[in-house]
Amino acid sequence: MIRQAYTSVSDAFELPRILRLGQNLYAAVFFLMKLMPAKFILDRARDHGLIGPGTIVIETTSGTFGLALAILCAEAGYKLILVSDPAIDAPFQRRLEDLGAQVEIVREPVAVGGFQRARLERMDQLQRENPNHFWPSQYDNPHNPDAYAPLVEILVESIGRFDCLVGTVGSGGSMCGASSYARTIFPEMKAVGVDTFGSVLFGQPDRKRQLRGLGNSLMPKNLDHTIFDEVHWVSAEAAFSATRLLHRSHAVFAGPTSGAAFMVARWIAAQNPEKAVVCLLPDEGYRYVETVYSDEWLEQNGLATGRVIASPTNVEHPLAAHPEWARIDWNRRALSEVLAREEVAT
Amino acid sequence: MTLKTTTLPGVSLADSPWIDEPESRLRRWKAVGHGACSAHHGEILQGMFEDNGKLHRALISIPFGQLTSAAKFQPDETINTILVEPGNCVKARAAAELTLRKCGRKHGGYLTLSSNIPERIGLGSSTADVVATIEATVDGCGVELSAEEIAEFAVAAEISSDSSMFGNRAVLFAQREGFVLEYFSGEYPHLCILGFNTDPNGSGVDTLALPPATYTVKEIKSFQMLRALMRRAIKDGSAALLGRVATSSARINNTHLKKKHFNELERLVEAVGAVGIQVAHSGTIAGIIFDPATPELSERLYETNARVTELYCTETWCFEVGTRGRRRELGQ
Repeated sequence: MIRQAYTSVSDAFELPRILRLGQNLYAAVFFLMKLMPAKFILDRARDHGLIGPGTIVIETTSGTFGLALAILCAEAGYKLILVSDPAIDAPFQRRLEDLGAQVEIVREPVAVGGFQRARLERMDQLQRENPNHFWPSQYDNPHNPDAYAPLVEILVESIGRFDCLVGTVGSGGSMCGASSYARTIFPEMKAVGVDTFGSVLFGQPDRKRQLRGLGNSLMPKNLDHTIFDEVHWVSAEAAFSATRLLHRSHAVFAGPTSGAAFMVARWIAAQNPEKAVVCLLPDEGYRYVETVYSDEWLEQNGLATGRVIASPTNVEHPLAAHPEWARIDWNRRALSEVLAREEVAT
Repeated sequence: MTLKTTTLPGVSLADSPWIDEPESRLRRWKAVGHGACSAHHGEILQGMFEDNGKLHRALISIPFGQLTSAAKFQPDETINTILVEPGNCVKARAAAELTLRKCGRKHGGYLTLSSNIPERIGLGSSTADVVATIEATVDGCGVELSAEEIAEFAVAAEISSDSSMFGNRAVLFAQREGFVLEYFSGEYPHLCILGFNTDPNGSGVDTLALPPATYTVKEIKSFQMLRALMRRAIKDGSAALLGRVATSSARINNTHLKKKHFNELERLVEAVGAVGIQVAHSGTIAGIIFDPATPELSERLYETNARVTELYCTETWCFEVGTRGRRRELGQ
């Protein structure tokens, strides 16, 4: 097909580049993966008349979904309010604000649900104050998972068949969406979710997490546990080391969620040399130059640099999963089914 | 049992198209135009596709060269109507008329059709008649048309057409608009297909009486995905990937036009080591697709034949698609 000039940044950067990292290891390298669901959600809202003149888009996020919304709203001329917490870094906030977004910072966490709950409460308030608003609701909006067909499209065109998809889970959108689309073609394809310790998504108790951009303190509706064949929990230290390894060994400059997905996919690819494994690398590394990419920062935060863990510890129950890296055969079960199993200490 | 023989209910290959007819009979015509067009065996993919922000209904047909429609057209400047034989070929008559007018001719002529393609089961009998007619008519007028122009005329004549005019070239064809959305970069990979009618005692399907399927946004997104996989399948010459495209398309469309025992067919594909299942999206024909390189292919075909026969109480036929298959036939 003949290449054409794109008419917007969101069009130009929506799709990933498909990179072959090894004999049977591929990566979908995104500029900003969340452009895909944000765009699909806003397009559907426009189709259904939910966004009109004067509509304010209001969302709670401190992450890349907010950036995607900021880009799309800047392109479309929509007013955007993003509710965030102190974890947001100043350069990122400046970037959002430069795109015209109004960033509201919640200063205090609430007892149950932490900052995430506090942000939701602030957002509720803003939505009441602005009746003409649209809430993209990435955690619960079914258009989030439904947005990922173009990812599967570029994967099948570039590599044909693939046997295993590995990606981090936060809202559940990318992994559940892409896996269910991919399984319309390859029903036997394995879906491998990557979470972090202290995230409630796959049955761990909520606690403060150092690794951001994956995991969750609340259970999103978009997470369909029965999609997953296998789930991994990785620590911040392990994910950061893998992020640096990805950069050193393949020159892929990406964020820590990419590192987490890469380390799991790399291990699965090595275990199954005859299976084609794809990992999703959701964003670029610029935001993490002063942290993940700084040896000084890593040391200050008590994190070892350059220590790559060879393999995960297998567990039978989510509560038995401990750092640095744990793995469970999820076998497409519901969360309740997995938790109902008696805990086996390992 | 000879699987390689094409058998369709009430049809034998011997009793039809007179493409090889003796010269002497043709000489009775003053200036006779000839045209011929093959049947197709349903589709690999059919659905709705986005192109430059617009949605188009489109399909990828599977060529089925064993069945053909042939047409002869003798222009006659003394009459201004078209006399057609057999008389019930209304669409073909309309196609000849339209073609003549498009070529700027005001006169009529004699159109004769001969076809061994059964009607109403999704083999493209009507398009084959129309395409053969258009070819014969322009040939009779001393004009040449490209496949694209024939496609345009065919859709103008019969509202909805398939892509039979493109032969073995794999194209994604907008069947109601008459143009090609995408030319895939190559021909079909070598395939071996065991075909059958999923409703042998039914009355068939009237393509135009069928309301066009209403697809969901998710289904349209899935079709885009299958189109992308089709590119890879053609590029790699992969029967396995092409089988996946066909199976997925058949499954999505099965919610719109149900095929009898579809779930059993899906299980059968797996059990016999086939690569997929393809259907006529507006008909009752289906086919189990094999990669001809599969070990013990003939045993698998016999096994599939036995199970299909049991399931539908019907005959089956077997044919090959793709470059290597045709070359081998020529070499024999």
